[in-house]
Amino acid sequence: MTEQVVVTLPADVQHTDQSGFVWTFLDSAAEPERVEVGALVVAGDADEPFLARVVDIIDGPGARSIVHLDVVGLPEQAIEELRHAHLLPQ
Amino acid sequence: MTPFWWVRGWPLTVDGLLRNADATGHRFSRAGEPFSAVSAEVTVGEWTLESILSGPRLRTRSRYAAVSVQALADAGFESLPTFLAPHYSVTLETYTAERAERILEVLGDVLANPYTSGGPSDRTSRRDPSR
Repeated sequence: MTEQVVVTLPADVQHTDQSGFVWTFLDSAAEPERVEVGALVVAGDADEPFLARVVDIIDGPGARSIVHLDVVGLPEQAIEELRHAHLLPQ
Repeated sequence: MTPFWWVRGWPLTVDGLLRNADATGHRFSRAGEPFSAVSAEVTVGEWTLESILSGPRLRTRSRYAAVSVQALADAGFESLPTFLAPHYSVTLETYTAERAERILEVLGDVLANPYTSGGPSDRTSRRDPSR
């Protein structure tokens, strides 16, 4: 049985704004305290998550915070690289 | 004349499109009304289908669909250049599942993205690409 993927920050990878970065609402995160500037997070949705770096968190409409994300790649890529570096079991 | 292609990656589902449009409508407005629109990318200027699919965002999508902007217009959808190229938005004048379903119909077949990082994965092949 495969464990359910837990996405830190739900986002749509094609949802960009004038910054050129992907944006999403911070309040969509189940654990918003995990989302801070510079953090590497699993974003997207459980079906096709992606890795992203939190660029900034700005004020949005209705006192909602907006998170900008720089897309890093796929989780599988990070796992493969960490394995290559022997930072994860082979 | 080469048609402009409107390219949308997964999620290509009614829920996925409505989530996208809902978030846009909560952040942006147009003519004083919530701007409910679905984000995608269009082959404009130097942007080709290949460069979009292999770009930093779409290469994380194992599946995508593409349709000419003209076909979208023929189906009654307004397509607007928004923010930085190649970002485009297709407006949902009526924010309903039926309109989202109609976009999916116009988009047609869901295709495998040959540029997905690392190539097609087992995860992709196991998934049901149906809507």
